[in-house]
Amino acid sequence: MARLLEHDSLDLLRHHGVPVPAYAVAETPGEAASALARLGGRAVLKALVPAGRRGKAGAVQAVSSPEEARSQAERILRMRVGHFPVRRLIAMEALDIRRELFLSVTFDPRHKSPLVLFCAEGGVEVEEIAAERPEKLLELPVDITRGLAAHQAAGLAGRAGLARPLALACGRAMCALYDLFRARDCRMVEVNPLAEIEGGRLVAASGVVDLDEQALYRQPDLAGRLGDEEGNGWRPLTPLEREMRAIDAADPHVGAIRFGEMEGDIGFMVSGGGYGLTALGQLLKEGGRPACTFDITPGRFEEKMYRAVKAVLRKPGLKGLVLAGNVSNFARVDIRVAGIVRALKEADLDFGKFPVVIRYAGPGAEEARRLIAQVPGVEWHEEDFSLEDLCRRIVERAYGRAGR
Amino acid sequence: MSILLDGETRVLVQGATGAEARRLIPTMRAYGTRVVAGVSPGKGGERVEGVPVYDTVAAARRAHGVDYSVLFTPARFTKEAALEAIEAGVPVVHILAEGVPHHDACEVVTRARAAGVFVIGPNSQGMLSPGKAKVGGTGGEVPDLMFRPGPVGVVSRSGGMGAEICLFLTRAGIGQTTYVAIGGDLIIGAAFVEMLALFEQDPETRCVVMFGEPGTGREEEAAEFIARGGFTKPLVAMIPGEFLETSPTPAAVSHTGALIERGVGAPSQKKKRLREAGAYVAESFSDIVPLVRRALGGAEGR
Repeated sequence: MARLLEHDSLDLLRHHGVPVPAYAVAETPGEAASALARLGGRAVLKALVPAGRRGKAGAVQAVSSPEEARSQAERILRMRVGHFPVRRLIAMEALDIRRELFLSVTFDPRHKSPLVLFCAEGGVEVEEIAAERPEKLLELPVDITRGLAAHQAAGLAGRAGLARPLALACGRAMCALYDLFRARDCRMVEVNPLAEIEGGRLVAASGVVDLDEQALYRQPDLAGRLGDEEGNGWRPLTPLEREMRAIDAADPHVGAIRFGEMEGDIGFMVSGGGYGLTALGQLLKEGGRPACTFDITPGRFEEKMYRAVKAVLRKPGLKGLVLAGNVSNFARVDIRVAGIVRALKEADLDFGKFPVVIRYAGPGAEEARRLIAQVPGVEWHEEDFSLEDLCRRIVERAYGRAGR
Repeated sequence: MSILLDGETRVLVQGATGAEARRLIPTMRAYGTRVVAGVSPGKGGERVEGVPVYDTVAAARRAHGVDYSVLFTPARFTKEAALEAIEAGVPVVHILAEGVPHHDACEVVTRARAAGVFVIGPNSQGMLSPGKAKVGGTGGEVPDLMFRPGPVGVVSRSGGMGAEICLFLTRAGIGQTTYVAIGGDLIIGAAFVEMLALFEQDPETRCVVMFGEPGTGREEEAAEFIARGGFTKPLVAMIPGEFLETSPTPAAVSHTGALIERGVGAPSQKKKRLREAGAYVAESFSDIVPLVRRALGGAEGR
């Protein structure tokens, strides 16, 4: 997830020609009150957090006096939206909205192309509208090698039943949004609502921009705007997740780490995206409680494995550790195991009591077997040990034979 | 037989002078892959592991004829390399790189479709037709551990799980016609439907194992394809991740995300649709081998 905060999204929209309301970012109630004067005396305050459903959480409030701005800002700045503490607000010019529309551009894996989504009835209820009256949600796949032509965009708005001046304005907004989507390597751009205000003018009353993480290298200015505040998509990073990011960042050229902390008690370092996901489902089925998920892409990553295992072992309350991966084609498993063995040797643990179950298969397995023999009590398995065997075994040993 | 790749296929390696290609070309050749040439712009005239290197795909193609190009290029140079192969008229273009920008992948897939070129990947680990040929990292240094010739086609979104499935099939004495990793990215060339269509045409493939994942509509499209009669052989499918549907962690919310995934993407739905289309659905990994045995009608592969 690489989602920009709303003020950065609105900046991009404006830069690419989608009209946006005037706004300011405030970190204190005083700043919110002084922003109000610049915004014409009436404004909407919104929590600036990487989470949706802010309105439903009570973190969006219209204000019309400096006192009200101050007190409401104070209230919202004390809130949490989802898991995110509110540290900043966006104060946005109040709009007299006559009509709300919905507009977005995303990738559609089915058509293997960009897709424009447009609904002449927008707002927070757009999913319900699309569910009840699917004909209202219009879709236009775009040939990426040709781009979105003005006539296609205006035609789509016309199909939504909009009268000519508004249809043309919507068409222009679509082309501008598509331009942003392409120029800045976006995964998804959304304007909801796209608001019609007095004089038939359109403005983006809210905006969401999701960037393509695989293209951040060529959008360095945007990459810099993705701070830690972003979290993992639904909550801020935990200290252990931050530590794991630092371990990963120390050497960006070998094996990229993906790590998520969970509330359970079995250190679950099972790599390979599909293998890890399948094993995680199996562990839950067996009654296991994972303490984390972990993946690392192939490379010479002995040092990273060493530091990652050490970090996971420090998590309080762990009852066991699983280290595994799908059968390796090329990456030598002994390199991985060398780092693991170093970490286990340094841990002050009795592996007769604290179970460590390891399964790797592929090149380097014999050498890995020899390395593991240096840490007595650690279980080593190879290709005949399935992911079900693995999950059953750790649950059995971590929770005792009775399970749980 | 096999699909897309066998011992006769004339394979070109793009990005041939890079470290990954230097490491993998010898294993591909040792397994039987007919690697006829390599391409690295500016390195024409060199040889890599005995393979002649050209500056351009067109030059390599003129000199050797090329049926299949496998791209070892880093993600950021992949679009240019793939478009070059497409413009040079290579019929199959296989992209291994992980991390190719989505806009680049989309452009490549769109241009390939217009040119009638078959694209595999990006983010595909590779492909292997047991006893004949392999491209990419699949099988690595230990292909016989995981693969043996036989009657089962295997197609997977995950390279690691595809290899793991082949390992357990092989250990059970059941061989494969071809194994292909279609790639884990959102935008890829050929997906399940395209591969099932090829396995349908292959007389030696008697059953296919498909490993899916949450998200996108690729498994649902496969179910529709079977229901339409496009694939008539037995299919064994596994799609993990059903637990995510009831997990308390809310997915990052956008209206667009919710709208585009209306009715597709959830593993439970994928499994339901595949079951309705007549596929055998594995609830856990150890179900796969017994289901394949059943699909093959008791007669195990030779």
